[in-house]
Amino acid sequence: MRNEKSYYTEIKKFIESQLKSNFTASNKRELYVFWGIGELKKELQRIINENPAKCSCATKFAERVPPLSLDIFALITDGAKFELLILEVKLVRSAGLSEWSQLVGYCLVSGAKYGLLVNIDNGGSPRLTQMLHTERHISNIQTTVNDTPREHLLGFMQWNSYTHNFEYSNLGSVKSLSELSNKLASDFSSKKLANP
Amino acid sequence: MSMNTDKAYLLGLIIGGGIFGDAEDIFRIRLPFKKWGSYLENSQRAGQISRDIMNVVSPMFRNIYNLIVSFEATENIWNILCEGDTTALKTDLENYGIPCDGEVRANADISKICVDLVDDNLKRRFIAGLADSIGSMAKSQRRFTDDNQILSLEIKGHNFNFVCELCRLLHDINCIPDQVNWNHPNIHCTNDPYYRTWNKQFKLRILLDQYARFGAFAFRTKAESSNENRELQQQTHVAQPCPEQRMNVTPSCVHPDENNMLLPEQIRGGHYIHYRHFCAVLGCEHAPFDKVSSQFSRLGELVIPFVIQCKDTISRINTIIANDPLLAQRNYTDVSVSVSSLLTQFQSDSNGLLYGTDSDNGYPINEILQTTAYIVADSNELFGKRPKGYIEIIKRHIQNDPNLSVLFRKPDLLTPLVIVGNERGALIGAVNPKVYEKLITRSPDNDFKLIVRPITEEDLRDA
Repeated sequence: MRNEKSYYTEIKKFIESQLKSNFTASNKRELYVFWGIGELKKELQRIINENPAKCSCATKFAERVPPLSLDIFALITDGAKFELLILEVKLVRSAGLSEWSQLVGYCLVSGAKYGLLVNIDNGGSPRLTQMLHTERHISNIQTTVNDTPREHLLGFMQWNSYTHNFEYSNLGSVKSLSELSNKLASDFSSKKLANP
Repeated sequence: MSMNTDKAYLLGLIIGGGIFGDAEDIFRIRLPFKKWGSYLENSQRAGQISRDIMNVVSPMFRNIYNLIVSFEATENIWNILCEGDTTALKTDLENYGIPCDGEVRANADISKICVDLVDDNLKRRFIAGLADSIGSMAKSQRRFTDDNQILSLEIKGHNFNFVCELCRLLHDINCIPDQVNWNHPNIHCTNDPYYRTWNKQFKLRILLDQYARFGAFAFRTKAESSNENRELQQQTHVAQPCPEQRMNVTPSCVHPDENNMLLPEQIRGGHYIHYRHFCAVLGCEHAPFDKVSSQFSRLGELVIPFVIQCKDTISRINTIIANDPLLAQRNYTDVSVSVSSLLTQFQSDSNGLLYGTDSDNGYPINEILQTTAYIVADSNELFGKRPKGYIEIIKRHIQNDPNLSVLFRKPDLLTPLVIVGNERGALIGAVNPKVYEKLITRSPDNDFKLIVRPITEEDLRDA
């Protein structure tokens, strides 16, 4: 019987390849995706130390981020700007509000702009589905921290472990990996600082 | 909007099965699943197909083009219906030079799309869309036995360049095709120019192992079929690069529909000795140019301007002869030939030639024996017009009647030999390489394209 951690590798591989392809297609340059599993602060430091040329843009962020234990996260960068993507991976019959709340909490505490709740081979509860359909503010969260506005965009997707593909639920503010790619492309091409 | 992985998949689906009608706000994607997807044959699979459409295709269309997806299923065909404002999708397709009119794959030129598939992953997603729509893994697709399972991309129409582009794309991601069955009479009717139903479809066949390793499916049903079929194999297979693959060329007859106006100009008017010969004429960089060229030294053996073998009722054979002046104007000598003597000659030399004027011309004994089996066979010994084990049929009938004979009608020149009996008839073309090679020239605009002029009585008399 597989546990949720055993799916991390295939999910990471798929997301990374889609994001990189889409970024290359739209921006005609390379995107770098570095994965961390477990404690955010330490893992970020490790990634930056191992890849200083590409990840030094995240140094200040890594210094001020609080210690936080996560399933998986990705530091996504074009070398000049970066964004953080948090994945909350579940292997449950039906992902509900508690799993969504967990993702929201992680994104708020860490400052990550993007978060995906991923349920393996199953969808979301009727309650979560309904709320994500009708309550836009729970997937597009605007906050102000130290007078700086922050935006958190969250989505919910299903991982099909048989086909090794995502099945989109069209729920939340990140409805597909191509939409996430578009947002990242926009973040990295805009003049303002993309990351918090 | 620029290319992305989801759009690449949807474009693959649309190019595989998209059909645009007059309505502005709807189009459909036809999935020609036939028996494989029939709810009468396999209701569980049919249920999963509907889930695949709603879980995979529907949210992607909604997200990328804001279209609403539903589906309809008949016994053999599934249609994905895409409704809404199709402007964005049509703009994308038109920007890629794909006309949104009728069946998309019939006229699609995917060269502009290929430019935007900038890495292997995007190519793989595009191909996954095609494989989900027109990729067949039906049992009939296997090569000879269960041990060689195949994914066949089935493409209607006469768009040779589309198939060539697709083949290149598959090469790019290392899904080297095992075989391309071009939609051409030289592929579908190699022996019989009187068989006119050559217009079937293209089949781009890939070893399933190779596809499973480098390709992708998004439909769970397709992935399940792939795994089920691969489990039937005793070993795994690795495709060889095209130039290294074996090229076994056998004789093929000249077919009148080589000049059919349905064929594109680049192909029309040419005779093709092997499916890889098309690749060379189309200028594919993966074509085995050297291997094709090396066959050109024996074209007289490979290109037959007559029928090679045609089996039918005696009345149909007589009609064929009457309609061809070269055959109708011959003087025929009727000879009763003992079937056991034919078997003896075949057993002493299966490549032997009968009734020739020279050592290298005449009627091939192996073709004669096959058609003789058709002539003498009982109805239950035939599968359509094909004898079920021709040597066994011959032996069985000789055992029952050692004096069994068939009637040969020998023409005065080496036009096809006529064999009759049992209300059945057959035509056997002669091997005559020295005469035939004089009929063949190269096209002035393509050195690999072979042009064969019709054979005349003078050609045969002057030999």
